[in-house]
Amino acid sequence: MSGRVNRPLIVGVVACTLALALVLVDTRAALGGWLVAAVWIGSIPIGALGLLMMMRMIPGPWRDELGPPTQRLMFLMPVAALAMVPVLVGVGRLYPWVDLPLHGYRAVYLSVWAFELRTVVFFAAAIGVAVLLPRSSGEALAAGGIVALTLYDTTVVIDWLMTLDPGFHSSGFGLYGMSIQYAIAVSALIVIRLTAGPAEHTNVLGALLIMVLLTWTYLAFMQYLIIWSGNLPQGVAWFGKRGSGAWAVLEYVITICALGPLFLLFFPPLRTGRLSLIALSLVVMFGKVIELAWLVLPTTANASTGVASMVLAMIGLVALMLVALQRLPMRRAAAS
Amino acid sequence: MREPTAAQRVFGLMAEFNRPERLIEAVRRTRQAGFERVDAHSPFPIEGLAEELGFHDQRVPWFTLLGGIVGAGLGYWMQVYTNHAFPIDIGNRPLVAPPAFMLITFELLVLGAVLFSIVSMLGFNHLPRLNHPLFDVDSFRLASTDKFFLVVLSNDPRFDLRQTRAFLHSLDPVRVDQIGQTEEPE
Repeated sequence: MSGRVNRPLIVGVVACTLALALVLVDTRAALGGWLVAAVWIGSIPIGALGLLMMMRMIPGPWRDELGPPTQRLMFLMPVAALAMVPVLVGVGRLYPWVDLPLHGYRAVYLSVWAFELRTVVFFAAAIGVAVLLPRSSGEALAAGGIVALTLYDTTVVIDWLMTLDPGFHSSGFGLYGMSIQYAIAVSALIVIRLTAGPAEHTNVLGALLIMVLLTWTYLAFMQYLIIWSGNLPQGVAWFGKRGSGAWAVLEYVITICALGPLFLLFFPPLRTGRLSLIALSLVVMFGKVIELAWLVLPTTANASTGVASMVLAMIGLVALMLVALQRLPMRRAAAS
Repeated sequence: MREPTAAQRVFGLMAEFNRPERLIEAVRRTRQAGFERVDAHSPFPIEGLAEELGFHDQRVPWFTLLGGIVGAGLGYWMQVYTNHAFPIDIGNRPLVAPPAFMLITFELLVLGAVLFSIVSMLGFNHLPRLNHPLFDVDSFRLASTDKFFLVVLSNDPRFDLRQTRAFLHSLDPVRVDQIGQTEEPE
């Protein structure tokens, strides 16, 4: 590698620096934009870890096709952890509950140090499991791990995204957030697997994408339906804020980017075609960027700074992710 | 696939095999020899057999889609109709409330899709049916346990009783049976 300029690395570092520099313009909005990109990037290794543990227990063609790339995505877990560092540093400026007079258990749970501790322990545990899993035999670690990951992942998703509106409460939010993470992870895996070369069981990959999209549709719609039926102020305000102005347009983009590919995947030529599956996965991944922006950015006042920070952070973190994916496994292969 | 009518004296020729791989191999060679009206019977689904038989019938999936659309449309329309026929004000929500209607719409979408797929599958297979010429061959009952059968129908353009029988024997089957018609010509 010496002597050659690593362009993605430079792009990544410059874009991330610019995104973080927007903190000087509007701290809250810039951190919100960064949070969108960090959660999106984090979804890839977190979802992949869940899939990896499921693959341990559920054999079949999907394991043959996706096993090696899923294992490789574990190298992104430290990148995802590092991407959350600016959010952890800026918790006090990003989350509105910091300024609220809270009492009792709520005051302890929604305090800066407790929030930071939960996220740090989550990533430490996730990295630990990712390291131990290939070295363990049998299914015990995977079986216990998938239960723990589901419980803990829904907790941190609520921390990262739901507590942006401290009055809002939805019992389905954790699973809804997790369905976003798995949709991103499965789409990323399909893109990585199929850009590497044609797969033997392309239809299985298409069916997997249908599955995550159906799960997302169910959880996203159920949350909406229950809040709509209850018609209580906090839930209505949460959706109302996201259903007015330009955010209403994003709602349509989010829906089309999920239900459009879902409908197209019903047709076998598109489900089994390599290029069509890559294209549909990219649409799903794009839709999830918009969805995370729709979840986060309405809570920060200065939307334009937030969007600018989000775009820069997305470019930077995706570039750094590609660098990590290209460099790390090679280095390990060279060392062994 | 259209079966030979009762006007043809012979329904077809059937070869019996012991193993699924042998059946797939036999189907491949029969298709390569130019036969088109070929059918196979096995006790369980064999991966790759449909491709070897050249089975491209997509009518049942299309009927399933149609059933889903019809079911969803009926479900939605039913709720719009009942809410207008019996208007009840619930928390001042609109009478036609799409979020609340989605559950029933989805349920009837599933019901329509399932009913259309089952009924169209039975219809295209000409089922229910009381008898079939293949049942005349005693060993055919083993198609439900551990034998694999290849049938060349007599309405195949290349079908010739003597030559086709010789060809099937060249596939090294357990046995080859001639299948007659069970019904009188009309």
